[in-house]
Amino acid sequence: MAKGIAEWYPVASIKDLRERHVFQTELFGHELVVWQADDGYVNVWENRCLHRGSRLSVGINDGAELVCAYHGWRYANQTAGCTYIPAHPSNSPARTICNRVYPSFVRHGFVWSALEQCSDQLVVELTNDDEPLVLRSLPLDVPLEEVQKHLQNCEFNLGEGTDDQVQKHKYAPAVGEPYSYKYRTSNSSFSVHLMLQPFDDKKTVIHGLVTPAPKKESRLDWLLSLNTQLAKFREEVESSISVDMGRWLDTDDTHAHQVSQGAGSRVSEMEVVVSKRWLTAIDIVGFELRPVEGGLPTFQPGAHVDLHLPNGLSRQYSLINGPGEQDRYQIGVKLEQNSRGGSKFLHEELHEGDQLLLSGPHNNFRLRRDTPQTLLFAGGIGLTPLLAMAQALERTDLSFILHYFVQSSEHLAFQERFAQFGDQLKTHLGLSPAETEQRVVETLGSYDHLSQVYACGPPAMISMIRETAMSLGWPPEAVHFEYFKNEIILDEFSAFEIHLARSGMTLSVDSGSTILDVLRENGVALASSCEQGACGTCEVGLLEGEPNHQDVYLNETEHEAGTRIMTCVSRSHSDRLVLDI
Amino acid sequence: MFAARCEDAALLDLWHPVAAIPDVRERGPVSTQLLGQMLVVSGQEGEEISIKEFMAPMVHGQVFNQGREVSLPVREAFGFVWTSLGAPPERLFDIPEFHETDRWSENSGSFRVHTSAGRTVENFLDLAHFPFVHEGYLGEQPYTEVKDYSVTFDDREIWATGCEFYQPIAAVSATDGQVTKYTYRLAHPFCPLLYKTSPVDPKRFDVIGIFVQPMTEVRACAHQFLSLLDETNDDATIKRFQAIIFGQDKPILENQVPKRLPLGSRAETPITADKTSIQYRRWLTELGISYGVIRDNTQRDSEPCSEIF
Ligand code: FES
Ligand SMILES: [Fe+2]
Repeated sequence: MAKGIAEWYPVASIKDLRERHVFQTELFGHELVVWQADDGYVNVWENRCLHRGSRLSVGINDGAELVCAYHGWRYANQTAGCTYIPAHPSNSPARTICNRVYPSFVRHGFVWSALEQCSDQLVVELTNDDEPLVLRSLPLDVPLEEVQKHLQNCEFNLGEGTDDQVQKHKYAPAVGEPYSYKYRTSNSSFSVHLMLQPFDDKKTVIHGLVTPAPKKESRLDWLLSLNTQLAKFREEVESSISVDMGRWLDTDDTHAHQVSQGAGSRVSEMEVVVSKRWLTAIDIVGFELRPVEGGLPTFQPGAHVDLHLPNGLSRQYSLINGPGEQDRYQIGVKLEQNSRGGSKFLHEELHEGDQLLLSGPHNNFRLRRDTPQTLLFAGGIGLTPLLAMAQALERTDLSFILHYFVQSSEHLAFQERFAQFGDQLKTHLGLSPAETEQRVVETLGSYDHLSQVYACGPPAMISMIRETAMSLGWPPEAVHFEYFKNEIILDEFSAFEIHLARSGMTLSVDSGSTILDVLRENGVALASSCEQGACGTCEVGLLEGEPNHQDVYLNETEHEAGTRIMTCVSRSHSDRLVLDI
Repeated sequence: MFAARCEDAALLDLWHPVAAIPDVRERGPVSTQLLGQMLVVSGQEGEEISIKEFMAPMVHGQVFNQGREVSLPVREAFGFVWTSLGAPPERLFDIPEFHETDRWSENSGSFRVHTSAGRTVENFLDLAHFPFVHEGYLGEQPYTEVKDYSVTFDDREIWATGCEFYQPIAAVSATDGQVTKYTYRLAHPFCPLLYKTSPVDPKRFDVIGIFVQPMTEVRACAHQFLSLLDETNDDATIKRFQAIIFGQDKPILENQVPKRLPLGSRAETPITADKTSIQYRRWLTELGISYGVIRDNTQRDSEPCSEIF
């Protein structure tokens, strides 16, 4: 690789990123997409959708996620994990679908990035904390070395602004570092830094700043003077190099094409710290969890995490976060009357600063986004997954109404998140079960073919909503629910046994896991990619048994032959499968 | 510098479309490229159509000497001129509907696009992009689900049957939204066809296809073919509709990287909805093609695929 690869470079001026813009640039010929989420976080990713290679820079920044222009896949702020695949609205994207994230941070008015993780040393360290004056970035059709060569010998007039006149001084570079050039005015009150971004092997971008930022009145003079000089510099350098025919030839991209698999393709437990706890409603405590190290895995609306408590218990809690809120997880825990140590422990013993183990997130309560309307019914603490859904819907053009049933206004949790919903949130206070049912009948109405229903809350309430919906003609596939005490995760798949012919091992695959999971748990390393039976990576030969293929990689003839299976999705109709591994 | 030359027997031996017959007759001779080779297709009204390949070494776009001219085989089918750079088979696939006399069968334009033929074919076979790329025409958000369909492959053709999609205007003759049923047929590695229930006669099908001409590894020309039962719309309206649709696809296609179609199973991330594309990539792999594709997962494009245009 080219030298200087493990260095920080400015890749965009922060001004380039305003207004949900999606910015495209390159570093050493690697295409980058740079976008800022509404929470201020700046993302620098590989500029390529994992699905079919679309440049993400032609996609849409919705403030929390970057949406690909070709088939609408959504990628989360910070993690770049895929959260939604519109062609399959009821599936969760595989955890392996995570775009490549480049290290980056924002400083001195620029986004800095590197192809590889590198030291904290920046080419420009400003002592002054003030935001400097940032010049317009200037692309040159000239390779890096040529720009460096010319800059060594170049002098600039530095305008030192006063209220009504500009004095000019001529200075040679004080420091000639390869990627950064510093100039000072005669009285040393201002410095100008020019920094180079190696775009590709034919192009270089010069970024510049003046520090400290000159007074408002003289800024325009500074900008005019420096921009004009830089434009002249560009002309000189560009005309000095011989025209390279290569610039008019088509090139396909010059980097590796393997889909980079993001971090955390297999997750296990991770350590988190309680960064905040607060009483959000009667008997409900909110906990905010931040990672002890690294980042948190991508989540989707409706997802829950498993908390592994120091007392040995594991409990599942839905995340209330809106899309793109990746720096922390928030959950709500209601004190249960006969708690066996789950909610009681959390309420009484878990304090700010405490650490605990978490796994997940998992999502069994998936939000379809392929109907124009969504009705969300929350009962009490059942609000939590629906709150996440409402925030995700709020980002789209789809309309929704969140009906929130609680005993009294003191029982309303997480009200700090309600403002964004306006009249799409309807609270129903203190209704009896009969009144609740009446309200549900009124709001549901007969099935309109345009809506989906999601319900979460006490089991009796969910059952009532399901029955009511059915009696009003709603088909079961339009009514989704999660029992709040979701202790048994139902799985439609049955258990079976696999025998590995070559190693003689017999293993059992239970309802919750795939053949691939079981093989991996038992030390059989098998590559995988899409984990939904579409790419063919995790294929193995089948010697005996009647497979339930479920994949789309093999065609019908191959399914009938039954000699190969995809271990990520295939299961068994017979009690046993004999695999050729 | 030479345009990368195609060495794949499987591609050299195929019949490829190179020009629409009326373009040659009325505005010929037509010069074009096929698999990196320069061709000239000529034949005024009343003459035989002939195709010459210029075997001229070129540097920086300049022809250095006269070079050799080679005559290529000519075939006329479905309104287009076809040729081959190798030993083509006797047979070209057939489209039975083309011969029915009560139809409007014609080419509806040739559109150039700066990407590989493979990427262009996949785009034609793809349902999932309708609500995003052809919003208001072939699809509409939020109706984005791709229902399961079935794919068969018999060593010569791929068929995808039972495809369904909600469409606001499926064709010019439709006046409002409907769930449209589709069958896709890949009759040739670069010739995908689409059969859909005719809005005029529900027992018969409209056929739409593109015959993709691989000009170089990363440039293609999509020659559109239509065979419709539509009596109400005139040529110009139908052509305009097709041009709008292709105009929406073009920027998407030209922003796919890499331009050559990646065949390695881990190079991209297919999903269930991509069944047809999955079989298509497997087919190209089995044909042993390396022109315009990237064959394995780890391959780097160390040499840029240069070309003259
Ligand atoms: S290429 Fe990005 S969603 Fe398909
Ligand atoms: Fe399209």
